[in-house]
Amino acid sequence: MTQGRHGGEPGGDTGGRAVVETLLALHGLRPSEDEVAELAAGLAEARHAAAALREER
Amino acid sequence: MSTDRAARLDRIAGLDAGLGAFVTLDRDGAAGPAAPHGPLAGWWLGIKDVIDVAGLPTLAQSRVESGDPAAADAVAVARTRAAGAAVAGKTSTMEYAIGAPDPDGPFPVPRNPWDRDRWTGGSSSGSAAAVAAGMVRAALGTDTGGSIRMPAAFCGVTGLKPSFGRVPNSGSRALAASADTIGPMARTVRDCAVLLGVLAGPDDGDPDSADRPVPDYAAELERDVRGLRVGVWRPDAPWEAPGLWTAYDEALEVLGDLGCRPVPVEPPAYRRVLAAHRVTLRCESLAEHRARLAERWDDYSPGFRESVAPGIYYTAADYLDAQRVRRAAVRELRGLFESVDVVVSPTASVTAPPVGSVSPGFERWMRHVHTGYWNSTGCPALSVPMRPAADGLPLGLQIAAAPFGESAVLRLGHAFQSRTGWHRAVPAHFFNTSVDDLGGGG
Repeated sequence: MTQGRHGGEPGGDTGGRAVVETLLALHGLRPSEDEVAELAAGLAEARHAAAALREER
Repeated sequence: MSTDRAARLDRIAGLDAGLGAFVTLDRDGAAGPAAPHGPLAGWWLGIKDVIDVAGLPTLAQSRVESGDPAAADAVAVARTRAAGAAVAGKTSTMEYAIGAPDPDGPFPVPRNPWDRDRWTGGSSSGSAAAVAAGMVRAALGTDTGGSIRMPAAFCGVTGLKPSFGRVPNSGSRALAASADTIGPMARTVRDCAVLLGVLAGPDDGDPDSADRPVPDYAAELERDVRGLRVGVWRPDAPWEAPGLWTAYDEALEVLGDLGCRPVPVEPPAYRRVLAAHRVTLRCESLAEHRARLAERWDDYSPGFRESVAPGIYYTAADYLDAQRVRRAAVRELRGLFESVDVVVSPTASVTAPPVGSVSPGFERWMRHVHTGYWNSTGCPALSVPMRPAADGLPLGLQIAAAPFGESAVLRLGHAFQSRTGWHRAVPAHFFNTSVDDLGGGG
């Protein structure tokens, strides 16, 4: 397990990785395995930040 | 090639040895002659290599670009040449003005004239280095999250991010189209004011360019700043350069001596606006590049991919939420700018980092740089040199105002420079090539 460059949870979250792989496929992007792992590690933090934008509507 | 041009470009090439400020020098005058008269007559400019100059390639520090010469000048460049400026060439950046320096790529990694083991900051890296080293009198940069002000601060020069829409983006590579801004970089606020007066004004090719009157920015520099209400902001950062707050407090004393009235402030909704800026930047840059990323992923630099690919995390609803947060902040800022005329802060809490130390992890490192809020809210913001940090490297004082309040930030910056000499400091290696020795036409 590795600490994500983006400060997210360690990269063992297979659910997060599956989501990222799906999103990459939707956009037609083909990063390396290491880059997919980095993106998966950053997903939770990014989603948390996006959710915070909806607060105090 | 004229003898004058040849001599000038030879001199620039000599100064640039080991710095990497220029990607392309216009040795053959492909960009065409400057107008014989005008407010910029005799000025030599560097143009950030995401902005088109006719006859020169726009490489954007990317393997993805074709390298074909641009067919026409960007509107901003055309305006400077019509005003008498000569284009020396294209200055180095990061790939498409985002990400981190790419030491493994085919382009120069710009180095700081104050210490060649340090980075210039980015992404208007070469523009800042070229001004700091006295290669050119001024340069054009672009700023989407701090790309004019951060390198200006790290290289000890003056840089202005105008209000969004003040200068047309026509002919410049887009990064995040709702925040991209072309602006001037020079040694003095006065030169930035003269250059902004030439650059500003609407253009049919950029629907976001503002159809508003262009003040005589240079003439307004002389207006008194006594009584100006200065919002004083002390931003947090994970780490601060030793000497930062001494330098900032000294700058505030200068503003006090000028008769300004300090008022402690916090920019409204700061963290939320930064979060909205990150979502906006990632979504808009991914939209701009995803077709080519799909075809040529490996041709983009790792730093670019690390910055842009996270755009996949967000939905359309997230993007719209981010725009709502930005609009709400602009409304709240109207209230703040009823109680103060400008807001000042350090441009960054750190000095120029060692080359190679900010990649990977560039986005986390950017927490030391206090510029993105003003991009997200469309406000003008200026960086002027203040007392260096304890390590002797330059620090910047940032001055921001309400949208289209450029006159206020320039006026205060000019008054600050009338009482301080930090903007006249020249790196020792370039001491005999000061800006006063940079006359001559194109």
